[in-house]
Amino acid sequence: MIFEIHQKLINKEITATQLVGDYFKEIDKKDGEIKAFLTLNKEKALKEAEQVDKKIAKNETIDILEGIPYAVKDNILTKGIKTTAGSKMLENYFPPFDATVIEKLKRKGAIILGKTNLDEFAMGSSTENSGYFTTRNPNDLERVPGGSSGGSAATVKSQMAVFALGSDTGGSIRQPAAFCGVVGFKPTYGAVSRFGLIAMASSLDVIGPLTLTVEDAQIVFEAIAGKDINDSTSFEVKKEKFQKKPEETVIGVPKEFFVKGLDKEIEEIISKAIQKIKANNFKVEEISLPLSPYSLACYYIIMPAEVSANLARYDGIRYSPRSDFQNQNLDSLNLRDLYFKTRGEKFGREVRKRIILGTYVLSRGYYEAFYKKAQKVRRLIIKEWEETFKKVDFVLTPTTPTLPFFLGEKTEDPISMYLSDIFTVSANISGLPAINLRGGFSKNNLPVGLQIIANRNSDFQLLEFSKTIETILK
Amino acid sequence: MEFEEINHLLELSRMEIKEEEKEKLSQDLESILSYVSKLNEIQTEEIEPMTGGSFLSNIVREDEPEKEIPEDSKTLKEMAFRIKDDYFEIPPIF
Repeated sequence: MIFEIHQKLINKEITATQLVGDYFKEIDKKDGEIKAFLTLNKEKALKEAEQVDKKIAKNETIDILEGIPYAVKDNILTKGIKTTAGSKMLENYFPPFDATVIEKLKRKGAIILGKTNLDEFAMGSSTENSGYFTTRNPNDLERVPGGSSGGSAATVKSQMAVFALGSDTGGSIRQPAAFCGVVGFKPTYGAVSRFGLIAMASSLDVIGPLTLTVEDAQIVFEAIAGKDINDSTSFEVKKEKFQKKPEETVIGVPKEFFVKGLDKEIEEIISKAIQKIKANNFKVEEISLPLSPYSLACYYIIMPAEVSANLARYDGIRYSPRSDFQNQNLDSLNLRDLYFKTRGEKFGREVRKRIILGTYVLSRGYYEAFYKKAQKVRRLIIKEWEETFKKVDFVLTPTTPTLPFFLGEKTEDPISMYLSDIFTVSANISGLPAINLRGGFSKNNLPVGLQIIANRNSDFQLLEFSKTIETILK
Repeated sequence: MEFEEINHLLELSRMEIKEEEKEKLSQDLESILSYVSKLNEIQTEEIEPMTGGSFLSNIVREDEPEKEIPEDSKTLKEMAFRIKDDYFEIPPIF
């Protein structure tokens, strides 16, 4: 889709200003119901589009992303554009700098339409934890779009943006992509700089694209990937293409992902997809990943531990949360009260829960039993995946155990909500690249996602292979 | 989880919550902790715990200032709780 729009721009079939204007028209028309955007960037976007048009008029060469309008999850810093992370804690936060991914896309001339809704600080699987409002699934407005990048997935599905950026800590790109029926790509940990991503769990967080096609995901990924001096965990990802013939390619299907709790319709659709893939001469083998059922438990120790440390910075002094104390005589207060009151008032319920859980698993007497245990299990899970990729090229699974659920259906029971991530979280624990593709549709026309996981640092091979699978499943 | 324990954790994390929220919080924490305790089914003796999310190590650079950032520092000040004479102003510590 990006390539086609690019062609239209350089052939002068459409101007960038028209293009951006058209997207804002779509937003005006649809976003009242879907509620995907937290902030719009209309004025600046139109100005930037004019600049692109000037270049095109002068027949200057433009980048493939130049003039392409996109949406950004609101936990990625955009200089001068309000960035809330879906939290009241950051309701007035205007970042003084751009995230590295934004800077890179800016240099290429891509145009930000606005910032998209998410579960507060990316903690959730439905956007119902947003401090502002809940985004709805464009396929069925009574259902959740998934989360935490629910706003980004919804904008792409309803064509309110050409592509969107999201972040994935336990499935937050792939799960909403599956629920909305779009492509969602989580790169290898470190392949994309985290500089300027509001930190949730730093050893798991990755930024990635949500798009309508795999080709688009690849274009965006190429633009944002790379080593960054400002993120010491970033590295230059290998640019190898996937060259094996279908009959040489081994796809592993882990039996642990096809158990009780998996929706029957999803199971059928994924099985059908596997049949089609087999019919195209790919080798499909049943494999076993005995530790994969433990990934979610491992995640729910490591993630809150990192959350409790990362969110300690929100102290009421920085990042401008307006509070009743602002205009009081400071001598009538003390610093301690300011901390307790600001954090109690401005963090939502789920965020507070995770901070407390993280504080618990890191505290004296529990550190060994919980945190250290989880870090040991994490190493074992990573080893299991390493061994798996000695035998297979890719691993194929359903992306989610259920179809998009109804608004309010899972808000009261934390475990049932957390289980939404059961199939996606392994890739975060192990740092692996993984993608959600459209697997098919249920009887009542809800999208079903298919996940492909690859070895660390083989992002381009995964994308190349996914293009083939996308064509097969069309 | 006992309220006493929850209060201790709130103290450590510098956060207050309403009394009526504690019952549900306690139940939620119980159910999460019981779920994660299934990790005890896995034998992990002699296993070195992971640290961080990658296998990179010792990534260091020269610690030198890159450039002056007067413009950024101005925005940072706008984000402060309160500013007095170019300094952050905070309530008394004690």
